[in-house]
Amino acid sequence: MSNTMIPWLCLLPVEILHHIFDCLDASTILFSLRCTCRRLKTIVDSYDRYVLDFRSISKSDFQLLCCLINPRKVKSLILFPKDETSDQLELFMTYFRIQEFTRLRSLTLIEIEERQLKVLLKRFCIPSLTSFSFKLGKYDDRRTNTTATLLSSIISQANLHHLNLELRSTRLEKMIWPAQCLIKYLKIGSCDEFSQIFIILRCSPHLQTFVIKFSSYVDDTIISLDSFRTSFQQLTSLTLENLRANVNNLELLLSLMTSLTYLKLIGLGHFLNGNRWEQFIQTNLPCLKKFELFVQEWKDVDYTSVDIEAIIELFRTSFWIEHKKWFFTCETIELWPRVIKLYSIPLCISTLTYEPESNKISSSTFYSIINNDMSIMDNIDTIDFKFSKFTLDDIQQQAHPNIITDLSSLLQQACSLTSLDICCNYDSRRSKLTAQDIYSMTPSHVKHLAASIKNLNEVKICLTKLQHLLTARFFYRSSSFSNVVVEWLEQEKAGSSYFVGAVFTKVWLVQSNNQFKLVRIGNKRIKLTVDH
Amino acid sequence: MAGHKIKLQSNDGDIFDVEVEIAKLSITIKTMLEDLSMNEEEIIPLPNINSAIFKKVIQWTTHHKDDPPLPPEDDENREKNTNDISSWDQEFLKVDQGTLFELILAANYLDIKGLLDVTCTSVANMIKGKTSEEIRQTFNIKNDFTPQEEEQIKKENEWCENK
Repeated sequence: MSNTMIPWLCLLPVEILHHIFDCLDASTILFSLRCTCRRLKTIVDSYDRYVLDFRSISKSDFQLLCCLINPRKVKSLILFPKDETSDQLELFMTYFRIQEFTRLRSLTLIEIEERQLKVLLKRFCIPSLTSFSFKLGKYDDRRTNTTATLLSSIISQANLHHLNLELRSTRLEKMIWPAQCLIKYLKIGSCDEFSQIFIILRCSPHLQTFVIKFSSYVDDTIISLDSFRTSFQQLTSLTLENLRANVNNLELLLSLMTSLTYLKLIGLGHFLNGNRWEQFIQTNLPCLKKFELFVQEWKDVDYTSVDIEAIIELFRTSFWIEHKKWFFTCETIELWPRVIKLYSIPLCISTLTYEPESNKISSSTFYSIINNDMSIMDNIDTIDFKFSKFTLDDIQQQAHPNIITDLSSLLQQACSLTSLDICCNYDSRRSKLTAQDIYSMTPSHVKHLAASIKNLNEVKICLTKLQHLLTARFFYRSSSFSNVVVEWLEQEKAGSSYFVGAVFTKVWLVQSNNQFKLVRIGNKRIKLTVDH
Repeated sequence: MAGHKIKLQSNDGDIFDVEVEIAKLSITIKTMLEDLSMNEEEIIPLPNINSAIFKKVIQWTTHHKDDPPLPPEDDENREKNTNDISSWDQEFLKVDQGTLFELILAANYLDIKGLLDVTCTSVANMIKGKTSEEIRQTFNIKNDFTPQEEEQIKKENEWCENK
């Protein structure tokens, strides 16, 4: 038997197949792999590390998964009841007895209403969790203390070592941290004061990774004398986002964390001085192996190419390029010449606002020819396009002759990009992009598309050409157009579900791997067709 | 010591001089050297790996020897991004299926987590979005379900409809 004829996948040991399953979603494992052959079915049936991720899942797939999966085999659960299908949480609770998730180690609740938190946390087995992530959707200020108490109870659990909290600082401030918190990874989504950071660090002797997103206003004063005598050697990874701090205070904070191997800073302020960074890192952060930066600064007069060159020149020393191999780009946009950006390569932000290269004045220490293992877009998962600036007239007049080609190339590089929204504001919905433009710039790794279309034919073209999409949201200028779209969907996309808004239709597409899709949904806003 | 080499022998008899620091990316070899006090002059046999695959393993470990450590993450909670394969690794993994699966087995035997992760992710990417029949075709798998078993699977899924 030649190499290509050997059914390698079936011959792998169980533990390796389970390792491969770890990289797959529950739908693929249960709907496709399990129905392939006897051995894979047996191995799937013994798999007990399911990650149930209910973000952006079609309602029919959601129901089918709920039916097929044994809650005792779920290791990680992500609930996301927002979106147009806001009854996901209620449906979930009708399908499962939450107490049966006995092996659950990781729980993520996204956009949960504050009133729902207590009910949910009472039912899940919190002491077994090693990871808890929580993003509060709808706030209810009457429950501030209750929420803080619940979260205080969670952080005192002995098994919990991964915590991600995205909620207003008013709740964070009221939380009581245990004196010896065992958490190793902490992400907080809204921090107002440096003093909060010190409190957490003092109570967290095991904390290795700390990700902090600051509120718009930060009180970065470090007033406690005690702060200067304490060092936080336990911390090896620090991320500061949305930071607007005095550089002296930032340096003071960082100088207490001399074990850092990873530092990421996203913010606004006077952080552009490469020489100062070089000296500070050499003196205070000797272990630093990865340094990511995305900072902006503005002044009252326009930046010029001379300013850009002067800034980037300080990052051309042997320390940056030869010793650390950290590369940077400095740029300003013609439209906003008083704002300057300095960032490391690849970009360390997840959302990029696209600007054509021709609109930028920039200089970089990064040369793609000699760094072909690195892409500037590696970390980008969202790209914003402001198409109101690029109309068909622009293209026809060759103001931006290669814009579609440029965009396609950029999107192909963004391997983490899963959602593409090319009509994020009203002006964009008036864009004259054709369906051909849309599908030619949408790479196969994008699963969720929002685009404006002009007629039914464009919907057909997009959905036919982009078979890999899980959801598509089509915007149009006339609300009466929705009827035409819906009629076509019912005829041609059986099994898909859709939601009709005022000026858009959202479609959850049935993937061809779901061979046994049989659904029956009773929701007045959602209509599903069944054709099996 | 940087640059210091050890000898490793594949199952078809070829001997490879490999830098100790690179060889130690394999936990299996590291354990042999450290816990079993193997002399660095001794030839370490690797009975489960042939020369062609071991060359690929050395190529991968050599390229990744200076990788900075990832920010500490809890394995259980790492968000999986199945597109998360560097462009170099993507090129490296442009091989026939036999080589890819032998690399997986080698990474597993040698206990090189990074290589095991990236090869398993690559196979997972070949599976994603495919129907059962497409998976069978891709991996040359025979449908060995009896008609009764197929009916049973169908019933299990139909049961959902009626629940």
